[in-house]
Amino acid sequence: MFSFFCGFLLWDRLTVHGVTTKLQIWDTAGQEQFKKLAPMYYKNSAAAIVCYDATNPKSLEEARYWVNELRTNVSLEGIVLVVCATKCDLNVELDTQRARMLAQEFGAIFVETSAKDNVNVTYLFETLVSRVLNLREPEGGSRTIGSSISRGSSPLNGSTRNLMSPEQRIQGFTEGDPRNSSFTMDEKKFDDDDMVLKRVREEPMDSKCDPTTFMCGDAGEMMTEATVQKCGIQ
Amino acid sequence: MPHVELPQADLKVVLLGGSYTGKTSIAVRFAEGYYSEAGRNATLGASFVTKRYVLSRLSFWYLDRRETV
Repeated sequence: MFSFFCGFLLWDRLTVHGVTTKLQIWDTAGQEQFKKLAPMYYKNSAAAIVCYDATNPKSLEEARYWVNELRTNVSLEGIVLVVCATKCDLNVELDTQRARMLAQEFGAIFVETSAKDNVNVTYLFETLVSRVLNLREPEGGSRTIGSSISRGSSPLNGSTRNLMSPEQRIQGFTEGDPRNSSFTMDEKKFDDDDMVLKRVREEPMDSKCDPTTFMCGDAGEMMTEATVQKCGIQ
Repeated sequence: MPHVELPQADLKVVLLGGSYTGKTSIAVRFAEGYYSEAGRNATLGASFVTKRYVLSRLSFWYLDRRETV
């Protein structure tokens, strides 16, 4: 009975609102002389997209270099990897076999895209976000997405959120621990789904907002709290 | 009072790859929705864009996952 209720609650939220994500997309330089800078950017990333030019076999070798670099410097369990073929509008008969094999070897997603014709670009990010959220689910399997998104008490109120400048937020992103780039989940505050449900019931609701707003607002605070901690503003 | 939906997930994504593979084009196409025919100069160091994105497919994905568990 309980599990039914829980499932229903989640279903409602997810289908009505979807999940709003904020993507911070770091676009790195591909030139040889900037290779040493790359760890700065892929560190703490929730996902990495390794691009290669579908019309240029040499760039696939560079993609292989990047995938290997990621494998040596970050754990592939903690990062979602996408191998992305670009410029697919230029050549219809592409041999993507090698790229597919590369992706398969590292458990990466393979997507063929064209920015010019807008082919698969949204799909690329959509798949990526789905995969990241899947990864960020707590261990155990019985927990649901809702329990990781909604959160119990937060020491911050809404006004604190507005006091932070964009620079501070960015600082929080790049200098935080790996978990900061995605869901920050405090395991101790989530003993089980039951607790989350209790929070939902106890939370005073703004009469002007619909019930689901609680979850959205609360999750927003979750993000801000993590960022604030990184910035040292307590 | 307007209903503002705050992000529920905050993700950092990085684009890697050789030079002139189209990393900037992908980022700009997704975040800003256009493609520049005029060509562009190589990115120096790195640049970043942010994009608020509502993932509506999550519900289907969630169903799939439940079936496999």
